[in-house]
Parts: sequence; structure tokens; C-alpha cells
Amino acid sequence: MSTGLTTGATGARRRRGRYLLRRLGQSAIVLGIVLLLQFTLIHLAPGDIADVIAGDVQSDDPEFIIQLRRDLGLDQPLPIQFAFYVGRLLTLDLGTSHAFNMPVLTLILDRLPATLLLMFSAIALAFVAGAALGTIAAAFRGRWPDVLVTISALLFYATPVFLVGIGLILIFTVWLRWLPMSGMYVTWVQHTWWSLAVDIARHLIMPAVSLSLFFVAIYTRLMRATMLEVLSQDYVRTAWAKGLSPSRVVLRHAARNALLPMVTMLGLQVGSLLGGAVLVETVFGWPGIGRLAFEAVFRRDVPLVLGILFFSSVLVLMVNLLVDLLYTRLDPRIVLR
Amino acid sequence: MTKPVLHTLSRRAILRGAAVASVAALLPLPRGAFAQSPVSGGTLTIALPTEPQHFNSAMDSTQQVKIIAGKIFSGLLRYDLDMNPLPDLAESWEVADDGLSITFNLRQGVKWHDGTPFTARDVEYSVMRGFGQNNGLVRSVFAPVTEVETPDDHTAILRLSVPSPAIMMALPVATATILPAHIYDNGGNIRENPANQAPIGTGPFRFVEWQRGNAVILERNPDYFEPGLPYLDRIVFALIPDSQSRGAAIEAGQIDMVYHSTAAASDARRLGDLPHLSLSTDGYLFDSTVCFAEFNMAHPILGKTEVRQAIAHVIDKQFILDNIWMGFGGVANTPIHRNLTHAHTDDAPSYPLDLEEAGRRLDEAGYPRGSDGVRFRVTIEFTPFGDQYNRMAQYIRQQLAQIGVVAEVRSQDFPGWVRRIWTDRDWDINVSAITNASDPTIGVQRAYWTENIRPGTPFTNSTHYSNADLDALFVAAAQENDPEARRAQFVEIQQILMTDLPVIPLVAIDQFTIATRRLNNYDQLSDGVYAGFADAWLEG
Repeated sequence: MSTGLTTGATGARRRRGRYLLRRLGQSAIVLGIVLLLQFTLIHLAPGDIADVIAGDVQSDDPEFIIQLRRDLGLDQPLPIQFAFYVGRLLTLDLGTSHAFNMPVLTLILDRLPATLLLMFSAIALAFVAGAALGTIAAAFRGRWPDVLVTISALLFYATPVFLVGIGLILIFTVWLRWLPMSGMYVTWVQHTWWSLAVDIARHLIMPAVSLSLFFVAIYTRLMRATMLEVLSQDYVRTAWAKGLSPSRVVLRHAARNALLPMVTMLGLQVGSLLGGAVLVETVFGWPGIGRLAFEAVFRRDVPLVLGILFFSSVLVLMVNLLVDLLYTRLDPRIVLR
Repeated sequence: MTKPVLHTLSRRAILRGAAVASVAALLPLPRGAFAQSPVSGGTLTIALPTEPQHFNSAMDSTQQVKIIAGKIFSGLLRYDLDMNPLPDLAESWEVADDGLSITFNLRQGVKWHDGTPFTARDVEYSVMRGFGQNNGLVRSVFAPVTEVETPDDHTAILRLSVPSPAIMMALPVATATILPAHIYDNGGNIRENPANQAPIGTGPFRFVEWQRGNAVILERNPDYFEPGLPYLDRIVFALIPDSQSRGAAIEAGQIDMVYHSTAAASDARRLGDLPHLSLSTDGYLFDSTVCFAEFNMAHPILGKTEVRQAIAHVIDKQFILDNIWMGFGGVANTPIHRNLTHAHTDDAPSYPLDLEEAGRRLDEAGYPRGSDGVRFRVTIEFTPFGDQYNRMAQYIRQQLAQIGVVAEVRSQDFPGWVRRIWTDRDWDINVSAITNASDPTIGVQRAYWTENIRPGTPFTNSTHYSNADLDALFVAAAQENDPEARRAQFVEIQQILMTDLPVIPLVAIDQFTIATRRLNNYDQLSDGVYAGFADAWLEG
């Protein structure tokens, strides 16, 4: 009996190890494809960084541009440029940004924490608010709380994120003067760690809310639909029949099981969350990676664009892997294969 | 320190136009009207629309670089609002009668922010290998400089092969930044010098920190060469990339200044009328910019002068000024900005709005309406500098449609646009703008000069217009020492250009600044917000 159990546990561990290895292998392939696609796409756009720099300095010297292209290696054929890039990447060298003349890694690491903070605040907010609102809507199906929640969700879903941002600024900054509207913290005062945390939190409120509203809408609708389905299941009827209180039936028995699709959605949404971050970071001057990507594309700064994409892809792949692992915790019936 | 109030008021009134001025009389007095003696201290926060890549304005004078570099570095000269030179690093100066040498007597006891003394060698390096080589805008003006003599540490003599009168109008910090030779003159590539990101200057403010994506922070230079200055303790450049957000931030008092028209023009007058804010168009002379519609001279139809003249008759410049630029500027009668009073004239051929005349001229030129009412088809590109250019392109498309010319407006981002106009040359009409800087030799000649037809190089002669008479006039004016004779040459140049019409000038743009009323002395020089702010001060 006991031997059997041990073998079972070892087997599960071995399965999990194999699973992880295979997933990591797949991720590497996906990464390669993403980089190749992005490299191709950015070169399909007309113009290069030399055009941009020459435009900035208003150079009337053709030799200047030729020299610039030579210095940056832009005079090489594209496949060779790509091969060089991948070769360097394999030694974990992301190269130097052409526009900033600085290591890409430094630029990204400078900006990554801000974006991660924004993303995880937004997703946490969306998840909690969506689960709560969806549960309320399902529990009061067809009555006024349901109608209110459904209409709000539709409104959140349909409003572009930058419009939400500007709206919040007009209300909370220009009119009420409660919240700061740009940046991540006040830069010119000496902060203690506590005052810095408070300052960042105050700056974070509006960007996080703007970014999350769309996802609140999605999670609300998803939660409501799943809850309705779960509430009609036999075991819930049994729970009612046992005479349990409504809150206990809804929260303990139904809601917990309704969370599974929400977690799936969470993994899928990380990518689009990064997309939304570009807009939110622009409106609120949030010093994150989304805006850096935006600027890099417009300056045709290929190493920086690829570097940011590499990091974002790794982030999305990691989150999805985590979500898959989380399934087995939430629902022990799911087995990794 | 402060300029006489009367002067401020009258110039303001002239530039704003009578209508605005009469309203202004009912409003609170402009800042500076109660100007007591300046107060030291305070932090000035300026909204930065775009993140700079470095702070070396000697090699790149985009507005986001020079607004910061101008506070950290110094130039040889400053200029008052009427372009009279004032001392900066040069205490006095003398241009030889033959125009072939310019002597600068440099200020003594000036130190770089790292403590190294400033000497004539810094000037020599900057002219010969700094801005004189790398700043495309002034490169041609400094090209005649054969050497810079430095007989002692405080004298720099520029020797010229031919006179170049524009030099004396091209020496503010923002374009002719004096760089530290002891840091840059090391045989390395100037673009790769780490000091570009952590600059060391002689200016009123020292570089403290660049919080990437967030802010750039400068602090008062206690060893600044003008005793008692600067007044401000600190300048913070806060990055706010969205124009709506910039407007909201200054309205809410979270920032003190939005410069170079980077709030929505439609919102600017309302903001400027708020009790705590002021609006100014002073201090942008070095950015005198004219927007225009230009023609690809290689186009089989648009290449003909009669056709371009006909097209000029469909454009109502006043409409564009009022409705697209919200009145910030003046109708451009020639490609030279009216700010350049030593060169600009209104005495040149003009083409008033007259659709019938336009149609008649196109008939005569051999392009009658076809059976479908269409004469010919063209494309219109526009520079992605701002929404105004898109709207001007749409307006011209609409006007052309009325005379049977079908135009398609195409849009692209900056690198794509540069490629299309200067490298691929795949365009018909282009709506764009060019800065004239402070003199036509710097900022007008480059767009029309035959020698400047350089495919693949942005902001050179884009139309490929070529006229030997005009070339000769430009070259002569570049070297003409007598201001009267030089003006006559520029007048003739404008008359030729308005006859040949390689471009149709549309609006001479006035840039605007919105600032807190507490701020004084930020727009009292010709390069206004791009200068050092040594004597700018905040009321308590």
C-alpha cells in the first residue's frame, strides 16, 4: 500500500518534470517565431533609424547617413542582421539601442518594474471586481442588481481605454484635484520608503483603474455565465436541500467552482493587457515598457523593439505556464500530460 | 534684470493682434506687470512631450533636446527679442569690416560643472568639430570657417574664407552649444560619448538625474558665472507624452509650463485665459517655421509652373490659419517667415482664392475636365508632426476636388514619410513645414538650392526645384556683408519663388507657451524657452 503511494507520487513528480521540460521547449520555439515575425514586420515598414536620426539632426550630409548605417550594421543584408541578432541573444546579449545608444537590457530593466506593477494591479483589480460583480449578478439573476451590473459591464467593455483615462483625469485631477495625473511618483522630493509607497499608490490608482475596466467587464460576464451554469448543477440543489444559507451556497459551493474559467482567461489576457498598457502609459505618462515599445517602433530602433518583444513574450509564456500549473491546484481532477 | 514692462506689453499686443489685445485689457494684467524684485528659490516643472535620447544640442537640436541642454550649457551669444546680440560666454565681439574674421572676447573665470576652467580651446573645438560639423541646421553657415585662432585662453578668432553674416545670428546656446573640449576632444565619435547622457556644461543649471521615462532633473549651479543667478533652485522636466494630459496637468497646476505649442491649439486660448496661467508666443524666433504645400517637380503635370500657379488659387490661407492653426501665426505670403524682419517681404506675387481663375488656368495649361469631370489625379502626403498637417492635406484635397483635380491623401509615420519624400521620391504633393531658424541662409536656402538636391538625405531640397538665378542669389546673400544689399537679394529670392512656386507657403506659424503667471522672464530672449533661464524666477 505504502509503496504504491510513493510510486504514485514519484510518477506525478516525474510527469510534472517532463511536462515542464516539454513546455519550455515549446516556449523557445514560440519565442523564435515571434522574433522572426517581428524582425520581418519592422523591416516591412519603410524607413530606418538612420532616416530618423538624420531627420533629427537635419543633416544635409549624405556621407553622415552612409556612415551611420555602416556604424549600426544596417548596410548588411537582413538575414545576416537577423542571424547576428539571434547569435548574440543566445549569449544573453540583447544588444545596444540605436536611438538611446545604451544597452537594451538596461533600458528594459529600468522600465519593466513600472509595467509589471501596473499590469498586476490592473489584473488583480479586474479579477476581484469581476468575480464579485459576476457573482452578485448571477445570484440576483433578472433583478435590478443584475441589470445594473450587466449594463455597467457593457459600458466598461465598449469604452476605449484612453477615453476612460482622460475622463478620470478630468474628474479626479482637474476638477476634484485629488489625484496626481502623470508619472509614477513625485521626483523632486526626498522620499522615505513609506512616503514613496503612498506616492506610487496615489499615482497608480487612475492608470490601474483605466487599464482594468475593460477586463472587469470581461470577467464579470464570464463569472456571471459560469455561476449561472454552476448554480443549476445537482450538487448545488443538494446544498440548497440541506438547508444551507444562500450566502454559503453561492460563495462556498458555487463560486469556487466557477473560478476555473476565470483563471484560464487570466492567462490569455496577459498579452492584451500589455497592449492596453501602451495606451494607458501614454495617457498617464507612466514610465513603463509599453510606451518604450511604442517609441522604439516609431524610431525604427530594431534592437530595442526586439528586446522588448522578447521580454513580453517570455512574460506571457511564463504566466500561461503558471496558469496551467495552477489548474491542478484548483481542480485536482486535472492531470498534466 | 526684468525687462521694462512697457516693452513687454506692446510687443505682446502687436503679436496677439488687436482683437485679443482688447480682450486682454479686461483680464488680469500679464505676469510681470507687478514685477517686484526677483525672488530666489522654487522648483519649475516643465512638461516634456517626448523623451530625449541625449542632451547634446550641438549635434541635434530637436526641441526635447535643446529645452534641457539650453539650461545646462551656454552659447557665445544671447539675443534680445529684436535679435540684438547680448553677451553669454562672449563678453564682447567684433566682426572685421571685410567680414573675414570675427573676434570673441570670452568671459573669464567661467568653470565647467566638473570644475575645469572654460577656455578658448572649448570654443575652437565646438566650432570646428562640435556644432560646426554635426548640427545640420548651421553646418553650411559655419562651413566658411577655416580655423579658430586662440591667441590666449580668453580670445577666439574665427577666420573665414568668405564672409558669412548669418554666423552672428546663429550663436545661441540651443544651436551653437559650446561643448567641453576636455571631455569631447578625445578622438572618439561624438555620438557615442557618454557625456551626451550625463552632460557637463557651463550653464546656470547642473544635470542631476535622468529618470528614464519619467523625468529629467536639473539643479541650480552655485558657481554660475553671473553672480546671484540663477534664481530657481531646480528645474524638473516631467515627461507627459499625451497632449490632452499636458493640458489637464497645467490646468490643475501640477506643472508650470507647456512649451512649443505642445498643448492642443484649440485649447490653448482657454487655458491662457485661466486666472493662474498666461499664454505667450514670444521667444521662438529661432524656431520660425513656415508650413507649405510642396510639389514634386518631376511630376509630369505638377512640374509645370502654370499648373502650380493654378492650384495656388484654390487655397484660402486665412481659412487654414483660422481653422487649423487657431490663429497662431500669420498668412505666409512667401517662404520666409515674417519673424525674419531683415529678410521677409510681402512684395511678391500672390494668388488669392479664385476657383474660376484656377479652372481657367488649368484649361489653358492643357488640362480640361474630362467627361467624368476629372482633370487629373494626384496624391497628397503630409508630415506626421501633428494633426494640423493632416487637416491641411484634407482641406487641399477638398479644394482641389472643386476644380476637378482628384487627390488621395496618404498617411505614414515619420521614418516612412522621410523614406517616401527623400529616398523613394514616390509622391506628388507634400504638406510639410521647415524651420527658417533666424536667417534664410540657415533655414530657407537648403530647401531650394540646386546643390542641396541630395536624394536619401532628409530636409534637403525635396522638390528637386532648380533655378540657376536663384542659386546665384542665395550664394551671394550668404556672403553679403551689407545688410541693405542682402535684404534686396532676399526680396528678389522671394519674388522668384512666388513666381515659380515650387512650394505654396501657407502659414507662418507662431509657437506658443502656456505658463503659470508666477513665472517671470522666460520669454524675454529670441530663443526664449530654449535659453538658460538664468534670470527666470517664480513669485512666492
